[in-house]
Amino acid sequence: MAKLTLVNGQTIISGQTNKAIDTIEGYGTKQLTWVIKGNGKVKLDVGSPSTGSKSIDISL
Amino acid sequence: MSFTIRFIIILFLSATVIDTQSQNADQIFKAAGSPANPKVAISWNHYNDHGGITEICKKIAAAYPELAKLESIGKSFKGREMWCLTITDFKKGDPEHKPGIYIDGNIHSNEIQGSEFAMYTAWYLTETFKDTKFIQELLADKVFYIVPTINPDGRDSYFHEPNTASTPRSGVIPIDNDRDGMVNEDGYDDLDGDGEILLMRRKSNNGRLRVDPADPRRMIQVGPDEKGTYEMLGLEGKDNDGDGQVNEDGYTFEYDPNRDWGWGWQPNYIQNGAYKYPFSLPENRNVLNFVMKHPNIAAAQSYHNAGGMILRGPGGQEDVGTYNSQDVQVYDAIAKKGEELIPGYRYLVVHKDLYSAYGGELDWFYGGRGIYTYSNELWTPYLMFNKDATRDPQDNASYQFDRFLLFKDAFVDWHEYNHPQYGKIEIGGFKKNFGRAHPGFLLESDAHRNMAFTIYHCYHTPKLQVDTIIEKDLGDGLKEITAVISNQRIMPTHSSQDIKFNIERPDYISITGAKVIAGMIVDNPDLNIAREQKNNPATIEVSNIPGLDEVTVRWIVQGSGKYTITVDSKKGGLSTKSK
Amino acid sequence: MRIRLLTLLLCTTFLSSILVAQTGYSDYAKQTSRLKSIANANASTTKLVSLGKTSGGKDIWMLTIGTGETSSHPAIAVVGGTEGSHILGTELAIGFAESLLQNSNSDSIKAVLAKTTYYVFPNMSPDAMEQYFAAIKYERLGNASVTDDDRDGKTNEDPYDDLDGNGKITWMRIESPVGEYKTHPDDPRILIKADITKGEKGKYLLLSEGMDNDKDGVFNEDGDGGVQFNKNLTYKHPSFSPGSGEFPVSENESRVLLDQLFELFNIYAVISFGTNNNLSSPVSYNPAAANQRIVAGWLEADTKVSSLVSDLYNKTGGGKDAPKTTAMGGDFVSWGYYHFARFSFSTPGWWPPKAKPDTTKKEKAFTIDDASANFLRWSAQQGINDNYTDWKAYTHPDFPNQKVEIGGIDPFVMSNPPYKLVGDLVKNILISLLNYQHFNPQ
Repeated sequence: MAKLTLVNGQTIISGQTNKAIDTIEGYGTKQLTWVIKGNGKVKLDVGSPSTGSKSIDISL
Repeated sequence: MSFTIRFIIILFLSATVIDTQSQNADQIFKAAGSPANPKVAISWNHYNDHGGITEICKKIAAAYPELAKLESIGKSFKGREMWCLTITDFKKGDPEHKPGIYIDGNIHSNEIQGSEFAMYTAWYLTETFKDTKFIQELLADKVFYIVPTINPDGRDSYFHEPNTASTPRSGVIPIDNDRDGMVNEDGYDDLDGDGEILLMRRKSNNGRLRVDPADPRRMIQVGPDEKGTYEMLGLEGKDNDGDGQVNEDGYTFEYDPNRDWGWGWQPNYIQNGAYKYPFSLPENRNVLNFVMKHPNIAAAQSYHNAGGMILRGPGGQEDVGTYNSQDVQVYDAIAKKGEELIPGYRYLVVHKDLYSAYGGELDWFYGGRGIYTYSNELWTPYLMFNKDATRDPQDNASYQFDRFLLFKDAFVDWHEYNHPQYGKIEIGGFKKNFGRAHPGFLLESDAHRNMAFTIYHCYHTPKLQVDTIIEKDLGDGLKEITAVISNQRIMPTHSSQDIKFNIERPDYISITGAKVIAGMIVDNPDLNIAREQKNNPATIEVSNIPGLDEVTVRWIVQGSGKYTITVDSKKGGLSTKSK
Repeated sequence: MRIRLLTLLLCTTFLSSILVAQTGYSDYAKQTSRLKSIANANASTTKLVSLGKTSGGKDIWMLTIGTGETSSHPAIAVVGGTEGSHILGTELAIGFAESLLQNSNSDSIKAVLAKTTYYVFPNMSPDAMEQYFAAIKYERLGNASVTDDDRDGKTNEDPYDDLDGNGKITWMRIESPVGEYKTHPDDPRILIKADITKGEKGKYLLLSEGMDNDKDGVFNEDGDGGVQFNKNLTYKHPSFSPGSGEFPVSENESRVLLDQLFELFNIYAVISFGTNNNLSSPVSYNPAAANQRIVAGWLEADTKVSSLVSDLYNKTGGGKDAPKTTAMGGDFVSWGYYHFARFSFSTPGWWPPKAKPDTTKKEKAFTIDDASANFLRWSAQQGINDNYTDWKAYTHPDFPNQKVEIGGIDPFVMSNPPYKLVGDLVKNILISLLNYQHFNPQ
C-alpha cells in the first residue's frame, strides 16, 4: 500500500492518494507516478503487513 | 415456327446492343441497387482472360479518375502485369490514411471467378457512387485495393490450354514432378481437339458402371449383384513418354501458390505444394511487397472456388492458439452476416472443417500482419435449384441443371475415339467451365452478394473519431483536457494477434497548439484511474482502440488558446478535432 | 557411402607453408580482393560470381572450386559469416579456398577437384561484419536494413553509445539493491549472477554500454543493425523477435543463397561456421522429435552419419572443450538439415580452451566455472592483455545518485581468436573438409 499525504494547497491531478500494490517480487521494483500541483513537500508511506513500512518526503 | 425463330433473333440482337453500348438515359428505368446507365458497359455473364481483365481495369480507371487508380504491383513469372485498382474518393482525404480492404482472386489457376467478383466490386463502387449515399460515405472513409488476379499466367493457361475444371491449380513455373529429369513430358492430351480435357470410358464386360437409363450422358455405379457395361479410364490423355503411366507429369500441379506464405510455412515434405521458401513465387512476392507498403490494410478477402464457404484460418492445427477469443468474436460477427447475405454459403474454419494446411495466404494476412481475412470459396451446387445439392454420385442435380437451365451447353456428349494404348474408347463429360465456375446467368448475382459481404467487412474496419473534449480549470493557469476517442465499428485498430507481436505501431493521440505539462491514458474516468506517459506526453501512445468502444486520454496543459487533438492509427485512419 | 582415411597423411605434408600474407582479419574490401585473387590465379579450377547484394550494397560472393563438369560432381557447400560477429568464419572459408588451391597442381588435390565440387559462400553477413572494423566496435549481427527491433513504431532510436570513448561497446555495472550480479569470487573483474537459491545477494545491475536514448526504461534495444542472416531462415523462424525479419527469408542475402542452393542438386552436405556447434558432439537421435508431423529431430540413419563426422572432426580438428549450443530457430544449420534435406554441420572453429591454473602465480581451480573468467585466465597465459577494459566510474544521467562503472570483456574477443592462431585453424578445417569428401555418394 502506498499512501500520499498532502499538505496545504497541494492537489493531486493524476494518481490516487491510497494506491494498493498487488505484489512486488523479490529483488523487484514497482514504479508509481503522481502528478501533483502545489509547493513544499509531500510525504509518501509505503509498506505491507509482511515488510513493515518506509516513509519518505518528496520535495516538489 | 418461323415466327418463333425470328422472335429469338430479335431478342438476341437487342441484348447485344445493351452489352456493347450505353443507351439513351431516357430509355432506362433503374432497377434498384444497380447502376442504371453505367459509363463502363460490361456484361457480367462471361469470364475474361488477362487481356480482358487489363481492358476492364483500364476502362474503369479512365472513366472515374477521381475514384479509381490503376497500377501494376509487379510482373508474373511470364511477365504479365498484376493489376491493382485502388478505389476510394480521392478528393476526400489521403488514401494511405484510410482503413483499407485488400481483395484478390484466382490464386489457383482454375479458380477463376474471383477475378470477375473482384472487378465487379470495382465497377459497382465506381458506377453507383453518383447515386448512392452509402457508397459515397464508404469511399470517403475507406479504400479498396483490388487485384483481380494474382496468378495471371495460370489464368490464361487454364482458359487457353486444354484443361478440366480442376486444372491447372498451380502457376506455370516448370517443375519435374516425377524427378526423371524431364519437365512436363506427360500431361493431359486433348485427344479429340475440342479444347477440353474430358473423361475416357471403354466398353467392358467386367466394368462396374453402366449408362443411366434416365440420362444417357450419365454413368452410374452398378450394385454388387449387377453386371456393368463400362469401365472408366481416367482423364483424357495418353502415355506420351512411354513409361507405362498416363498423364503423370503435366504442368497442372507443379506447386501450390497457397502454400507459399510466411506464417507457419513448412517445406514440401511436410506441406505438399510448398515451393522453396515463403514468397518464393514472384506473384506472391508482389502481393507481399504491396501489403507491406500499405499498413492501412485492415481487412482482406482472397476469393477461391468452390463449395460455398466463408473461410477463416487457422489453416494449421498448430495455430489454433493464434486465433484467440477476442479475434474470433470479430471474425464470427462479420462472417455470420455473410451467411445471411450469401444464401448457400457456410462460415467454416479451414483446419477444422476442411483440412490442415500450412503457409496459406489467409494465415499470413492474419498471423503475419494481423489483418482480419476471409477466403470465400465461390460457387455452390445450392445455387442450381436454391436447395442443397450433394456430391453424392447418385445425385444427378448437375445433369438436371445442365439439361433444363443450360440446355446441355455444359456437356460434351460421349463420342468414339481410337486410343493408341486403350484401343476403341469414348470421350465425353462436363466441360471445364462447369462444376467449379458459375454458369453465366448466376455470375452477376453471386458476384453482387459476395461483394456485399466484402463491403460489410470493409465497413467494419475501424472508424475513429475524437468524440468529446472536456476541459477543467485547475487554477494557476493550468487546464485539464480530457478527450474521448471512439471506434464506431466492430474491428479494433489492432487485432489480438497484432497486439501479441506488436506488428503495427501503437495508435497516436496527440495534442498540438498547447503547452503540455503531463499526459496520461485514463483507464477509468469514473474512479479517476490514469497511467501517466512520461516520455513525449503530447503524443499519447495507445496500444489499441477496441471495436465499438472508446479510450480516454488526458493532458494537463498550461495557458489557453486553440488546440487540436488528432488520433492517428495505421489501420484505423486519421481523425482530428479542434477547440 | 564408403570412407577412406588415406588422405590424412597426404594433406598435412603441404600445409605448413600456407597463409603468409595475412596479418589480421580482412574487412569486406580485403575479403573481396582475396577472393578475386584466388579466382584470377586459378581460372581453370574456380569461378567467382556475385549472387546479389545485401541491403547495404555489399556483394554475396560464391566461389565454385572444382574441375570438369562441376555441377554433376558430389558437392559440399562451405558457408561463412552466418553471424556478423563471427569474423573467424569468413576467414576460415576464404582460408580454406586459398590453402586448397595453393596446391592445386599436386596430383592429390587434382584428384580431389576432379571428383568433388566445393561451393564456398564466404560471408553471409557482410553488412554486420564491417562493425568489427568500424570506429566504434560492437558485436553486430544485423544487416543494413532499417528495422524496429523493439517494435514500438520507431526505428533505430536507441543504439549503443560509446560513453567512455574507447571505441568499443562494453558493459555498464550499476550498484543497486535490486542488482542480480556480483563479482566472481576468484576474479573481481568478472560479474556473475548471484545465486539467490543459496542466499546470495546481488550488488550490480549489468547492462550494455549506452544511454536510454528514447527514455523507455530499456537500454540499447533498437540500434543500427537490421536483420540477422542466422535468424532469417525458415526452420522455426522466430517471427517478430529482434533481428528475425518480418517474415522468413525476408532479406536479399538469404534469398539469393537459397535460390542458388536449391539449384545445386549435387550438394550433399553443408558445412557452416558460426556459434552453433553440432560438429564436435554428434547429433543424438530423439525418436519423438524425429517422428512428429513437423519434423524436429534428425532421423536415426542420419544421426549415425553425424557420429562418424564428429569422430573425424575430433580426431583432426580437436573438438576438445567445445561449447554445447542449442540452435535458436531461423538459423542456417537447422535449415540445412530440416528444410534443405542435406547433412548440415556447423562449428565455431575456435573457442577459448580450458585454462589450467598457473601454479607459479598461485592460481587455483575456479570455485565457480565461468566462461569469461576462464577466458581471461587463458588470455593472460597467452600473454594477451588487451581483451579487457577496466571498470571505470562514469556519471550516467540515466542513473542519478547511483554508482555506474563502464568496463568488462571487450567485444568479439571470445569468439574470434588472436589472428596468429587463424593459420592453424584453417589447416584443421582444410583437413576436415578434405576428409568429408570421402563421404561423397558413390
